[in-house]
Parts: sequence; C-alpha cells; structure tokens
Amino acid sequence: MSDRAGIPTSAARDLTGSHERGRTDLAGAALWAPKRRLLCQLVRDRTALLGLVIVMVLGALALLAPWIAPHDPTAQDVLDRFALPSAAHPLGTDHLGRDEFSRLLYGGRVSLLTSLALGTGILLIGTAVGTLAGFAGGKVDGLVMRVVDVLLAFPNLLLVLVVVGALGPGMANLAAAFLAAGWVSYARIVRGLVLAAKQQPYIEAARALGLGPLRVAVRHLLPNVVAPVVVLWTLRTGQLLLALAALSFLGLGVQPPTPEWGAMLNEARDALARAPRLMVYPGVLITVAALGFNLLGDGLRDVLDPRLR
Amino acid sequence: MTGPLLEVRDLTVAFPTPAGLIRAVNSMSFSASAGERVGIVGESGAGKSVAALAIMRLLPTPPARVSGRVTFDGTDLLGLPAGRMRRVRGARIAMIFQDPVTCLSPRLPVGEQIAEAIRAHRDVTRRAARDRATQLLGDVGVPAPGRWAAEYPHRLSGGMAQRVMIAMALSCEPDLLIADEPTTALDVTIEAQIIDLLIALTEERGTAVMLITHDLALLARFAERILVTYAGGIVEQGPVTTIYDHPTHPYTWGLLQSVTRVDEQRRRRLSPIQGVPVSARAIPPGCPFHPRCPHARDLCRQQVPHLTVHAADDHPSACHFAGELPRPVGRRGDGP
Repeated sequence: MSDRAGIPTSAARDLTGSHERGRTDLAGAALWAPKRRLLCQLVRDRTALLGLVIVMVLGALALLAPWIAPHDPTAQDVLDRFALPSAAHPLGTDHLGRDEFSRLLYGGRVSLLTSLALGTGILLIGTAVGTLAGFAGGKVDGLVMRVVDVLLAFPNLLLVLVVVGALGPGMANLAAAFLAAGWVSYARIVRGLVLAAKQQPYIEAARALGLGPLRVAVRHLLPNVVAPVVVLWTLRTGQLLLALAALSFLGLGVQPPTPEWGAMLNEARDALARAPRLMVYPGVLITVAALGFNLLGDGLRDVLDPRLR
Repeated sequence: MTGPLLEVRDLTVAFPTPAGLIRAVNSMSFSASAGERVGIVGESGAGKSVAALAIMRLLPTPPARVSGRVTFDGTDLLGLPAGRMRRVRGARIAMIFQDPVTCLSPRLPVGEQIAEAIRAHRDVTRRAARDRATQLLGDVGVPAPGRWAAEYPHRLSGGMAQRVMIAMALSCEPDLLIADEPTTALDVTIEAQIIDLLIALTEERGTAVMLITHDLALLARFAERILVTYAGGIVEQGPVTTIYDHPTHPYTWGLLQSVTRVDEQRRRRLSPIQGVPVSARAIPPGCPFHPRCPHARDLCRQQVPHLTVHAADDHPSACHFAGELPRPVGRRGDGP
C-alpha cells in the first residue's frame, strides 16, 4: 500500500468531473464550509469508500459487541469444543468451547479501539512536538531532535519490550510503551514538513499581515503538512494493530481469557491441525482491518489535497 | 499628524557570509507622506525588496544585520517589541508580493484567508469577518465574490490571486501599503488593471503606497514621487515629472534611455547601461555607479556622493556633478 502513497487514485481523478458539475450556479451564495464537503468527496472516491466502510463496519461491530454478541466471550463449554458453525454458534466454538463469533466481536474491541486510540495519541504528540521543533527552530529544535534521535536509534519493538519487561505484560503497559516509543517518528517527519513549509512565500505573506506565530502555525502551516500526516496516521494505525496482535500472540499483551485477535491466533495455534478455521477468522480480520486503514489513508490523502480534486 | 508617515534614515541591511559581508541596503534614507504614492525603482539586486522587508521587520535577524532608523507615525519600528510590531504589520503597514499565487496558503479557501487577516487585528466574529472578506473581494473587482471566496488558490489566475492579495492587504485599512513588484508575474493587460485598481482603492482610502518595481513605465502611470535606487542606496529622488523630464543622475538617464517608447518620432537605438549592476559583496569606493558611468572622473572614484539638492537643480541627486553634466540628447532625458 505504502508505495501508492504519492499517486492519486483514478477514482480521485474521476471525482473532479462530477464535482465540477455539482457546483455550477452558486454565485453569491457563500460556500464557506470545506469540511462539510470532505465527507462527500471521501464517499465518491471508491477506494476510500471501501476503506471507510471496512473501518466503520468493524468499528461498529466492535463498539456494539455487548449487544450483538450471542454469548459471553469467556463462557466455556468444554462439552462443546471445536463445534462447527451452527445456529447457536455462527462461527463455531474454540478449544475451550467458547463462542468464536462473540470472541471475535469482543476481540475487535480491544484490537481496533486500542490501535485507533494509540495511533491517534501518537499522532497528536508527534505532530505537536514536530511542529514546535520545526517552527521554533534554534535551541528548541536542537534539543527536541536529539531526544528523537536517541529514541529512534532503538527499534520501536525493542523499546516496547523493555518497557513491558520492566512493567510486566498487560494491555495498559503495552499501550504506554507504544505511546512512549511511537511519537518520535511522527515528530521527525512533521518537523521536516514544517521546515519545508516554513520557507513558502505564503508563510511570509501571513506574517506580513500581522498574524501571530500560533495563528501562522495552526492556520497556515499545519493544514499544509496535514495530508502526509493523515496518511501516516492510517498506516501507523494499521501497523499498531499488527504489532498489538503480534505482542498478544507472544503473550505480552492481552492476557487470557480476554479475547483479542492476536491472542486468539495464538490460542488457535495449538489446534491448527484440528480446527484451522480458528486461525483463519482472526487472521482474516487483522488483515482486513489493516487493509481498511490503508485504503482510508490513501483516500484521505487525495481528498485533503485540494489540488488533486 | 506632523511630519512624514514613514521616515527611513540610514537604513543598512547586511548579511554576513563566509565570503564577507554583503551589504544589500547601504544607508538608505527616504520618507513617504500619508496618502502619497511613492515609486522605488532600480535594477535587480539594488536592495529594494530587502529594504521593504527590513521596514516590515520580516528579515530573520540573525543572519541579517539591520541598522538605522525606521520611524512610522512617530514610532521607531526597529526598536519595537515583536508583539507590538505584529500589531503594526497588516493593520498599519501591509505588504503584497511578487508572485501572488504562491503567497496564498494552498489549503485555505481565499475568503477564509482574508477573514483570517481581519481576525488577526479586529475583534470580530468569524461570521462578520467572512462577510467583510466577501465584500472586500467585491471591492477588488472579483466577480461573484461569494463564490470565489470559497475557492482554493490554485484555481485562481495570477491576476485574480493578486486581487485577493490586495483585498487581504487592505482588509484592515492600513496607512501604508508596500507593494513589492506586484505585477511582475502578470501580463501587461492585467498589470494595467491591477495598477489602476491599486490607485483607485488607495486614493479612496487615503492609503500611502510604496511601489517597488524595475519598470519605469509603470511608475509613470502610478507614482507621484520616484526614488531611484542603486547599490542599496538612493541616487536620485523627486516628483515623477522631474525624474522623467530632467533627471540629473547619470544612472537615471541610463534607465530612461533603456526604455522603449512607442511615441518616439525618430528611430533610435536603445542604449543600455554599460556593464553589470555592482555586486553588494564588493561595492566600489567612491560613487558606486562610477565603473559604469560615462562621465566618471577622479572625484567619483574617491569620494562617495551624498543625496543632496545641488545648486543647479531642484531635487536631490547623489552625483557630484548633478546639473553640470551635459545631458544626453534625443529623448525625454533632455531638459526642458
């Protein structure tokens, strides 16, 4: 997916035409709300729409899990292990006789919501720090970037393992570790974007109009770096989803019996020969969710750049 | 208000480089009165733009070293704290630039950008600022301003973008507008429209304008007073008719003779000024123009001429021999 990041999708180009036709005679009427149009545009881009639908459907299922799950995800029924899909158990049961469908729903809650929250948290911290460093420059920049350099010198996963090793396994510790280690790459990228945007004539023009540094940064600088950051956000959220699943798979994240896609994959591993479908379900969901985030990111990038419309 | 609106005294801007100090502006002095249209003309590298940026305090210091005095409406701008300078920019002195399309933030609708400029100085609601922005777009001649206000800058033509820039610059009713080559990126018909628009709008509001350009023909149309710059300093200044009809500095003659004229009776070869503009890195001793001046004498090579009114003339000129030199024949460069 990432290699497509620089190319506008054909759907985005198609969109320009229909968009033009839709807004002909509005002379005089102030069309002041670019944000309201954003969703419309996103929906018209087929790739983005697919991503949006995937993320929203999975998100809705996860959010509504307590109401739609037919069973308690941790209720065991050892007499009904490895049950095949039936009316009572739409996707069958796992090695402890727990309802697979309910576990997937509740697992999505942990996987999706955690990775989404973490991805967003990392984005906010990284963007704030990167903008500060790039915009302030000088000593602030030097200091912040040395910290970033030091943290970047370690692989992210190593930092996470160190933190989890020190604090013990568990979702809260894992989340804290990802938050602490993840913002640095954002900060570096955002700083670079800000440094480049800072040189643009429109920044000088904004300053010539007497706009204060905060206004210049928020209204003129950030909107011009936001597109790559949003793409990065979706990519990183997809990565986080995979990383969380991987660490849970390794037993460092979610602890049994709490359902989580990665942990479920791990539990299903032992019964691979007997019930391979138990690995397929969470595996497919992880893949589809990661794909959804990536597609959404692509579409958002196209929509956020007014020049590509 | 007593005295001029803007008074610049000995403004010097230097940039230290490994190869030595570059003096982009070299003790430049001039003034502008309220409501006056002043033209600053000179070749590329004469320090016009740098002087304007220095007045606006938009040059990053360091590396730039700015000295001298810039008095605006009785306040010394160069000594003003950053926060108070910000309240001068846009509200009291506004600036427009050469390439209007790149001066607009690509991801904000243009109306939003104008509203932003208003809200930077006026305590108004977003709604009111937007209404005012739409109204301003109408004032600068944008058709269907309500529609164009929602447009992103890349959809605008150069002329349209410059109109938006002008709307933005005039949004807070500044006393002085500095226009740095506002029409260089535009074609001639649009240039004429923009210049007429600038004249009309600033006359209406009593805004003083400092127009920086290398185009003398443009200034003939626009300016009331002309400052001729060379090597970071002013070499001659005076009312527009004086500069055109009897200039006294050989550089001004040279500039005037390099302009083609369609109303000229005789066929004439254009006579460009010999040589290349002096490098700000190595300004020659004496008169900075002497290496290119056909009338240079020993005195010119030794002593720096100052901008003074010479006995034989009526306006200031920085030439030792102003009023004494034989004037070139055959064009408007000659005397009355």
